[in-house]
Amino acid sequence: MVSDRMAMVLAQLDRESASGGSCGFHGFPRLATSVAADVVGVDGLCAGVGTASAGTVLVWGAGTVGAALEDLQFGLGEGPSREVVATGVPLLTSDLAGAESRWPVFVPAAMDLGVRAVFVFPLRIGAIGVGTMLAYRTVSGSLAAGQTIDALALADALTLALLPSRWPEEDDGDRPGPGWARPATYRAEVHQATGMVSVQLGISLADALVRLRAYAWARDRLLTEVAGDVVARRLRFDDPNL
Amino acid sequence: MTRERQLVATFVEVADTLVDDFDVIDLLHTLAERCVQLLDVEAAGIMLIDQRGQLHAAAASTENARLVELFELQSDAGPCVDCCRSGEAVVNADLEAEAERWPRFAEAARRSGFVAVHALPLRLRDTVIGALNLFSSARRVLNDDDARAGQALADVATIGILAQRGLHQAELLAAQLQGALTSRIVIEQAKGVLAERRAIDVDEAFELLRGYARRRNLRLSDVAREVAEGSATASELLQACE
Repeated sequence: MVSDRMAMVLAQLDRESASGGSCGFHGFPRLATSVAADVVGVDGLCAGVGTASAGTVLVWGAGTVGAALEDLQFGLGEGPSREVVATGVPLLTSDLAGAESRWPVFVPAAMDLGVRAVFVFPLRIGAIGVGTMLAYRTVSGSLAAGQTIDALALADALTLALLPSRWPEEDDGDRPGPGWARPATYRAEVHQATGMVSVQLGISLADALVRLRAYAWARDRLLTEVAGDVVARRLRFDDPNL
Repeated sequence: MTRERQLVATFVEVADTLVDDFDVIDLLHTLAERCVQLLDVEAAGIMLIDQRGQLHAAAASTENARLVELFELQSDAGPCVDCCRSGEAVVNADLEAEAERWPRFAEAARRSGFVAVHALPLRLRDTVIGALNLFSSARRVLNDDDARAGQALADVATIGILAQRGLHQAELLAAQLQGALTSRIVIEQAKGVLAERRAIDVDEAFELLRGYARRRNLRLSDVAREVAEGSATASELLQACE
């Protein structure tokens, strides 16, 4: 289970996303990255958006070392974040020195920055790839089980909070509300409805999920209920009367 | 074939799968199907716990929306929650007698025609990572042999989750569980895309996806990802799966 301290960080993320009006990156810097890093038990944390070969754009917690680690991977074309983008599963390197054969250029460069352990988590909802979250330590050592759980929960919350950044400006005014910290999104029908709405509107899965969340929020309905209506074909998003 | 021989055949089949480049959700689905055949139950499902302690249906013997709902109804109270908390099997729980213990779940399960329910833990040493959920619609008691066979199938499911592709570096269970749950989400999104494109329901969409993957000897998650991402091969695939 997620620790109480991480639950508080997630609740704060919720509040800031809500009060920010728009739910893009703007609410993010206010959430103290250092608090989140402390809860996860690492020296630094950052999140990058982008999964294409063009690399990632840092959107949260860009400390000098974290930013340098992202830059290194982009410049060198190797490193854990790139692999996580490809595989979609976390990559936990508790002893960077032992990974030199895997990333022969990245590892010495990262160690020059004083980094000894790197933990990368995918920011992903099924086939929707948003980016990656990177955590590092200046001493080697694995994350404790509870720390991994907290890191995964934080990655989930960041994934949802970063989705609307892909949302075009000319939207219809419906905005997804808070609720990033709640796991309701993970119901099967929500993912099915995401696929259906993406076809109905000819948009990406990420945008379809944002539309679903926005619709539910604007009408004060549960996301799972709205999704259930879509799957049962009681609600279509390409309905002109919507 | 006697049941012992069927059990052996199942374990041989699974062992063959595990040495190959297998798909974890496809394996779990197969195991659920075998549970129905071997344990003389009506329906079976495999539930996994995410990092927040929430239960999610990873696979079911039939991808039937009503059945999946029954699995997911247990997020608050139900035999799988009890089984995961205690680590002990729940066997031959009568849905009438347990109406007070799990009010919402027991009522929904009875409405679906089930009279008894069982939950066997997916256990790795001291940690419970999920449960194998079995439903009976006849008053047939699951005896000790049945329960042992069921537990062996649950253990195989655990082994499958731990042996997923791309997880060789992830030493932590939470990461492995996340890999399986992400695969499941991709499948749900693909079901939605396919259901909308072909005007079929989501259950039929699953059968189409799985049938296509089997015939072409492809991994279910790979096919699902192509469909969900709407890649060029996906439209070809959508035409092809008549």
